[in-house]
Amino acid sequence: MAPQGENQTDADLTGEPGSSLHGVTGHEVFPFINMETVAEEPTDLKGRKFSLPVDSEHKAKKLKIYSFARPHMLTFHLSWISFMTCFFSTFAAPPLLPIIRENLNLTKKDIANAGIASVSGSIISRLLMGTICDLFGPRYGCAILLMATAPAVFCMSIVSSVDGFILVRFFISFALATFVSCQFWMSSMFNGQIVGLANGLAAGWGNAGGGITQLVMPLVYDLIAKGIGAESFTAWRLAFFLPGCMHIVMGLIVLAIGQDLPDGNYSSLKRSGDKVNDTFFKVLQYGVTNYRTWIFTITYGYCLGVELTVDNIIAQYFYDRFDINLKIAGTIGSTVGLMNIISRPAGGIISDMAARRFGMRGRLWSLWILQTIGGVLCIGLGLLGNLGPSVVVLVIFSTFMEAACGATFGIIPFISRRSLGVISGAVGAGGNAGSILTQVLFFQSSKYSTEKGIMLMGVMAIACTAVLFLVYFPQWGGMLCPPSKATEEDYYGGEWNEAERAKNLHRNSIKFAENSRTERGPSRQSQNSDSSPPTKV
Amino acid sequence: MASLQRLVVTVIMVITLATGVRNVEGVLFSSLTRTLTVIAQIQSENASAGAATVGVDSVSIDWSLDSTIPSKVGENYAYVKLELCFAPVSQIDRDWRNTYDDLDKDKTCFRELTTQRYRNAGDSFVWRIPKNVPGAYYFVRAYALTVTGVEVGYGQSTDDEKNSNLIRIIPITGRLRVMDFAGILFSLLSVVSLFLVLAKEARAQAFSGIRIFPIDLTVVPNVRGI
Repeated sequence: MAPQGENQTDADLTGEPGSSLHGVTGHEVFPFINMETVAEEPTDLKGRKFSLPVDSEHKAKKLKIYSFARPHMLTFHLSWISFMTCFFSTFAAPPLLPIIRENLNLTKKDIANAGIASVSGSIISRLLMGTICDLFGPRYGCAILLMATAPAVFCMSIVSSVDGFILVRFFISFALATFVSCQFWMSSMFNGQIVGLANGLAAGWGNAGGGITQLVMPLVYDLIAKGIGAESFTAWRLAFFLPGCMHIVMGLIVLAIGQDLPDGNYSSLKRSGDKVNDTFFKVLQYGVTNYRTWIFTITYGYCLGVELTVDNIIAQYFYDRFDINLKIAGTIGSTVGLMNIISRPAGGIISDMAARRFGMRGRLWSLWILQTIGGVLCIGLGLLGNLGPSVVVLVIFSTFMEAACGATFGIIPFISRRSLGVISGAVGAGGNAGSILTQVLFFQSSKYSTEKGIMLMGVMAIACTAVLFLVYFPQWGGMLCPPSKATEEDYYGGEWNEAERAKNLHRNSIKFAENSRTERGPSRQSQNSDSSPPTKV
Repeated sequence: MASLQRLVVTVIMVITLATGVRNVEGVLFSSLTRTLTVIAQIQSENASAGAATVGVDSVSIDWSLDSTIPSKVGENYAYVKLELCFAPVSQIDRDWRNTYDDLDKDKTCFRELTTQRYRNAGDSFVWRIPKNVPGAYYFVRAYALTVTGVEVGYGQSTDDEKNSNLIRIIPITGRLRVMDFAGILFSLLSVVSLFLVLAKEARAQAFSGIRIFPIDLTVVPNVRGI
């Protein structure tokens, strides 16, 4: 009786790609009432009307960017601003490196080690953040991370040795895990049809923090050094109080006005016992044993990884190679991060457009094309010796690389339904690992000049992107191979074993499988003979 | 669309051409002859330390035409430019201080101290070390310039290998006691306010009898189904 009843109720809930909340809802679940006959406006727990159209889980179906209405749009803005703050503080040191390297007597190796440290910390924290969001909610995850890393940012003002500098950059980089809480929060608030766009915009605008910091930090430094008349070796330290205070302010705002879900916070919703818990080890197992996870870890390592590496080295590269002043070098460096505002969401949109025409195969091809062109332009950047063309190529190259990042996350939600959190975390960590590997291989020793390093980075990006040809979805095909007769239900249902399927624990995966049939592409949509309409009481 | 394409191509070409015009190569260091004698000494209250502290000590520089060079050579010289340069030991593994033969590209001498009119008998200069000089080993180089400012000769306070008579400068850390204190204060503010907010919310939950941090690692099916 109970499993049958649960099936009927859950049929009314829409499946959402990109969510890892396993069907959390604020509604009281009555198995014998059809929720779709509710005719009045959906209201939140306090009885107020939602300002955006919502689905049956109260997730928004539309995105109104200029609105700050609670809870959906407010969450969107809190989310991307928090993420932007963390990128701001992680990459606040690179534009000031010409001053810092003289103050701390750094060598090229020290600078490269610090750059590596600045993307390593987040590997650990991104992997943990998925679990923290699952257990405590994205609001706590985001706020705790922001306020716990603020002391590390303030410590940057106090460092006086090479080791101190490297350690501080390592601890500040823990803040980049806000990416996971940001995506998690978007997936809780936005319906499956627009969650891709919401995630792409939030991630893109957050990543732009790496560009904004290259613009703002030299300006702040200038203001302190010339305006107040502080010594240059003191002025850069004072400048770090800006990102530190941003952390504290955003953390408090998120705690004060943020909420985990459209209907309220986790703690109040746990009361209704609606949350279906999965075992951590099972989720981990299915994420780790899926070979596609590792392929996308490698490719993301060479799109986000390249972007992070360039964030770290580019201001210094232009300052040293072309003899321009700190502010202009910072402005040029900032274009890399700022292109994210448009290019990352654009990558997601390109991926979606390709999917509409060609299904999943279109998504894979569009990702490969974007990332390979990015790699070619990276080689070009390393070969050019003049300032003007270098800047032009830099802008175009970052556009393509960041579009590739957006396109990657157009595919990730479809790799697994059960282990989405683990896979997102692993791919995100892979981005950082790619940056570490690149900096170790090409930018640490004096064997390669910086321009040769950039060229070799482009070559490696093209080589690592080629592994995309190995991706194959049985129900949708791969880049070179057509699909087999397998169905989406086989693929997503296959993540649950017999015992779990008997208990119907895989119901959300089946729902998701039905909704993901759009990835077949238009030519095969009409072959849809096994999608059953939701049963009504 | 086609006109937009043309516009983009034109812009790229203009930028390329504008910056593609190369400057005439600068003077090569290897073409200069060493004609000046330069002596640089640390003026410090703490003379025995062998190093100069920024903001406190000075470097006194005496330059003159080398006694072995005929004074006719000096007629070509109009100005003498004194510069502070990095010694090789401070250039290791620091590409931004590399030595290049082309003086326009050369990064060895990073700070110009002064430019004085040339006199055969020479001149001297006392340089009070400012606080923004990095800590390293230095030597002083004097370039002899013509009326148009082109380098035609040089002298330096060290030998050709740049290994002797180096000046060591001790920098400031840039840290201020006030700033250290403020940093610690703000850090504590962040952590303490976080704990206060979490504690307040935990207490509010405790009153309604629910534990907010249940950690379930077992499968819990939906218990509300009747």
